[in-house]
Amino acid sequence: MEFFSEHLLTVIITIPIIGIAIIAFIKSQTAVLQTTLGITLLDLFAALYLWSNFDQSIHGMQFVERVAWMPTFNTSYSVGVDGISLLLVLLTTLLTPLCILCSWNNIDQNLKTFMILILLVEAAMLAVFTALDTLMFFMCWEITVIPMYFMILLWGGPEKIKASMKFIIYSLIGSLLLLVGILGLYIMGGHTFDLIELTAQNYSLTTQFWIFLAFFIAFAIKMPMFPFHSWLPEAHSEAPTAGSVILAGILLKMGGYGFLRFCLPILPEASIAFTPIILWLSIIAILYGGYMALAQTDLKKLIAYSSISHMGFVTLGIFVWNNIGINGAVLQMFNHGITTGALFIIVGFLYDRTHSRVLGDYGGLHKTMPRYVAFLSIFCVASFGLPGTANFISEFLVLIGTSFRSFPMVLLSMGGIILAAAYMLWMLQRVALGPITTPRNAHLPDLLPREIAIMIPLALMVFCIGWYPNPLLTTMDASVNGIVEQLHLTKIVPLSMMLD
Amino acid sequence: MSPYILIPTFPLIAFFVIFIGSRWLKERSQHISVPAITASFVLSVIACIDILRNGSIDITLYQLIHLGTFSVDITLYFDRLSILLLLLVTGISLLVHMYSSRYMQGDARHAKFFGLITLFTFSMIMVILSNNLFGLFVFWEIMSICSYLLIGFWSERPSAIRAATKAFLVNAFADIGLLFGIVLTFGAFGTLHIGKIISLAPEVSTHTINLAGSFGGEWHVSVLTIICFFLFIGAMGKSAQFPFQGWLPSAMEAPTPVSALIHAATMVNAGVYLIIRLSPMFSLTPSVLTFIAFVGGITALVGAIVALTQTDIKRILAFSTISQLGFMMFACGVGAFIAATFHLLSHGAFKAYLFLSTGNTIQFSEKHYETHDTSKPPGHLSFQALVLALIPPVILFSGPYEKLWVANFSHPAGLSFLFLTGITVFFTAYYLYHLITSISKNPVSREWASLSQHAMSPTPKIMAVKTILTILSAIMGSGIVLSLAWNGISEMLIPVLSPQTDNSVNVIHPTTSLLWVGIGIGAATAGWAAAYYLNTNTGKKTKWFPILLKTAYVLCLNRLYIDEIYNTVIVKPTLKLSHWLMQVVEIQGIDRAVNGIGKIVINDAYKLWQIVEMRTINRVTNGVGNKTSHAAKTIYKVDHSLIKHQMILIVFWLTLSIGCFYFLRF
Repeated sequence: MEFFSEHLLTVIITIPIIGIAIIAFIKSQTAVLQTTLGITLLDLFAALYLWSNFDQSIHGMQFVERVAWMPTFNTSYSVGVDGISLLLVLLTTLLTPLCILCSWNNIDQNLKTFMILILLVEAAMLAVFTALDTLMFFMCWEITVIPMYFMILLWGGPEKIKASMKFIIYSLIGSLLLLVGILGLYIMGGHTFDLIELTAQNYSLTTQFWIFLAFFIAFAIKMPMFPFHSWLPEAHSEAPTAGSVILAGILLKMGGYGFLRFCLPILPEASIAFTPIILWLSIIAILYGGYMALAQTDLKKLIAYSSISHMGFVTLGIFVWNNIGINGAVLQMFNHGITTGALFIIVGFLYDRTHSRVLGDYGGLHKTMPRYVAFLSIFCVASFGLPGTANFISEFLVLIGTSFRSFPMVLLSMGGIILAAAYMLWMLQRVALGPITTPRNAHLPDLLPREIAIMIPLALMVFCIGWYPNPLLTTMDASVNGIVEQLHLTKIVPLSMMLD
Repeated sequence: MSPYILIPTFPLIAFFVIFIGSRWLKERSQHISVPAITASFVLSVIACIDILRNGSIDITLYQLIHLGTFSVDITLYFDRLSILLLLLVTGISLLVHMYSSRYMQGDARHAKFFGLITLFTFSMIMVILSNNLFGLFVFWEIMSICSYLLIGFWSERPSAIRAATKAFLVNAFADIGLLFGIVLTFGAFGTLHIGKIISLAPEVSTHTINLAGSFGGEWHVSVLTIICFFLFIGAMGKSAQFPFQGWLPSAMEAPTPVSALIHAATMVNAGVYLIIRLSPMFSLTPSVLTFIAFVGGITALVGAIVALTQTDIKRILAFSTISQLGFMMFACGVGAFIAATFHLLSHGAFKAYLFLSTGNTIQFSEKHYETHDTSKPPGHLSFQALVLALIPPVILFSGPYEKLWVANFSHPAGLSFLFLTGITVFFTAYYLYHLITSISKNPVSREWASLSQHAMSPTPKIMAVKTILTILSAIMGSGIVLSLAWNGISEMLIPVLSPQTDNSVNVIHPTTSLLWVGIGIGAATAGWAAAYYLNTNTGKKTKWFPILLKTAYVLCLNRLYIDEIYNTVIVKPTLKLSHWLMQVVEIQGIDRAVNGIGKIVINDAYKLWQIVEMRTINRVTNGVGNKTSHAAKTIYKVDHSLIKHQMILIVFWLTLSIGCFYFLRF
């Protein structure tokens, strides 16, 4: 027990890897599923145990473990969590069991491989969120891409080849720039990959400019921010349900996490100089994503575009550099993971039944599937940020944070909220309400107990965070304050002066 | 802990029980919600007495958000204003619950209905009791979603769903204003606590900002003006003020008890309540007050005129509600917040009576009434119409508006008010006559769509009639008691709403007041008489209308085409823009750019492969290979001395190249 508490993070990261080794030897399909579920649940409990032992008053890293890896390059296996990464670890471990539950019987071939890929992604993502070594961060960042590529390519929808190609090319360009940034930091920051050492140093303005640019594009592709988003709708809509959930729920957050972990603390002057551009890009993303979602006829694409809009709030909140905004942004990442994950899962249920994602094929489902429609409505209203649900709290915090900077920006981003209400309600109206349109819809079975079991925790989370967000906020408050305090000490240099 | 916490808690618990056990409860769900609402009503009465004796109570439930300087508490605040509204809401909600337990008999979604109206009651109670703008907004939106679900209650009917979506989106649009106002309030005051905001308001009212600053201009506006303007936008949406009024008539797709509870008596009053609650802040901004008065006046007039031409009973009532809400806003705009409160209370009771009696009639005959039938109505009904028509002017003039000029305004406002009221009362009397008399007539053959699909109870029992009559008389009675209790209410509210004004000044002379009541009653009687005359002499009616009036008639009949205007100005362009963005920016722009880059890269790679790899390098290597083998063959044949010569040459070249390389490096 002593060993486990001392090496808790390593345990959390290795549980899925051990799981891969175990299920590699299991033949029966159900046994594979049950074991994988058990392993991911175990990981969730480990993460909850981590949370209960976490000290909220410290803003530095906790549970730090370091083992030298390649001493010649000053690189090591080192992990640690602060409030921000803890939330994302919780989100990862929470969503993965649900991913396994929702692919219980819709993966008809190579089930074992699929499960192995999910576990591999989980381990890699956990490592990304806890890594304190930039090289390790980069490697795990890369590892997440490959299983996702195969998930889309092997189990995807009709246009899977194009989608997976787009996904991997975008991701690799991002990773390449990330590698450039990390090597740049290595060279300029005294030949070390240690994140904390790198953070403690000052860099010249020119260095900051170029390294920030590399990081910015890498993270912006992952987020995705406005002009770099075109991989997302296709990848999300072609991926199998579990893949979409992991992509939208967790992988996108790596971008936001990267901004918070790399850009703001290591390159503060450059972050501040680039702020106006990023804020405007965020607002464009919020509005543009909303307009795109309004024009969709494909359910999964609609949700995919809505997540572009919601992730706009994350970048908006991060780059207003105040406590409230960043808290709101991190909470928005968490909430978006839950609601969008839930929406993908629930659309997946419908897809399992009819193998169609086209909005026009549905109508009047409230007659035949009342429970389904109840849950769909809950997540739709949560997604457009109805007060009383989780997303409202985070969006409101981001708006309050933005108000310290610019009121027109607040007003513009509120346009995104009303667009969200429009496309979500319109979608609900066309799918769930009204008279039954096609004979097929008259015979759809309602949610199974397994499906309800997936929905209930997500719905509970939506309302719990909506009515009592304080536990999550206090968890990260100290860490966010650490970042903000450092930013306030930074001198402001306009972008045009950066290269002088 | 104060027992008054239970006032919102009972409905909430009832909602959860019904929500979880809906499958099992079915028709029994009314046995859970009715007692819960009764309990909160009784507690509200007790709280009312307590507060009148001992002053206001502030209860903090828990801290919702705490981040540095930003904290939000969920609070319950009982003062003289909120307790009055609380009585109205719990009282009418109780009556509507009892009424619906009959009305919804036999409906398959009985439990859903009761769950929703109970949740609605809870959130309305919380809106009234919130002492924090954040909390107020949260419950404000929950009311919206309840209203959405109840308008779309008969969800297989496309028109109901469209109406629901429309109502929600119009409200959401206005609520953006409210939300922005709240964010601005936090920016200016640093708190969202209503009490603190009100006490800080005089200090903040001196701050100005330069709106045109970013364009290099000079346009200084008081911060408070901007805040109040945006808060009022939110109130306009919820209280169906012009130009947001379109959602309320469509909302009549909801079951009639819902229309009575939400779309007449309670939820639509929330906007007016917001203004009254923040009245000390609003009265510091004359320009916004003028705007409010202007909007309210237009709404009152438009509502009354459009109501004249409508043929659907519930729609007439909806427009009448709009018109009355316009009056309340107008009263707020001229600074008569107490009068607005009084009007709000009495209108709530009065309109609930009208809606429930309409629902009653409609349900008994299962037919939809059209008011265009022209046979002569029985005399007692005409008289009843006159009585009903006289109620609004009596409410309007007998006292409340004496205090009209307590705040900032003087004669122009008073005169315009008189003018507007005269016209509106005239029209109100006119359409009320139509409304009441049409109830007695033979049902028109056209069935009301909502009811034909609504799984009707067999035939209503005589029991039900008795219950309903009791309920109606209760509502009617409370309306009359309210109008008699005006003086008491105004005395009661003065310390809350306008503590700074001196009561001894500005009290209107009794004879003036009497004159106004006379004018009001005269206008009402005139309207009634006109309606009576036109209705009994229908043959002449068509000749009466010149072409201009006909145009006006058509315009009003189609509700001034406001829905259509919205459709062409806002909805269609938005959808078009989204499709345009999708086609032009997303597919033609970004996608094509990405694909183009991809193609260029692949083409280049292919060309590179062809040119460099295949042609050049392959040829070179092949060539080199050929040459070497050729050379080898030649060398094999040549003389040894020649080889020596060539070896010297090779060494020379090597040395030279190494030397070059070495020196050039530095």
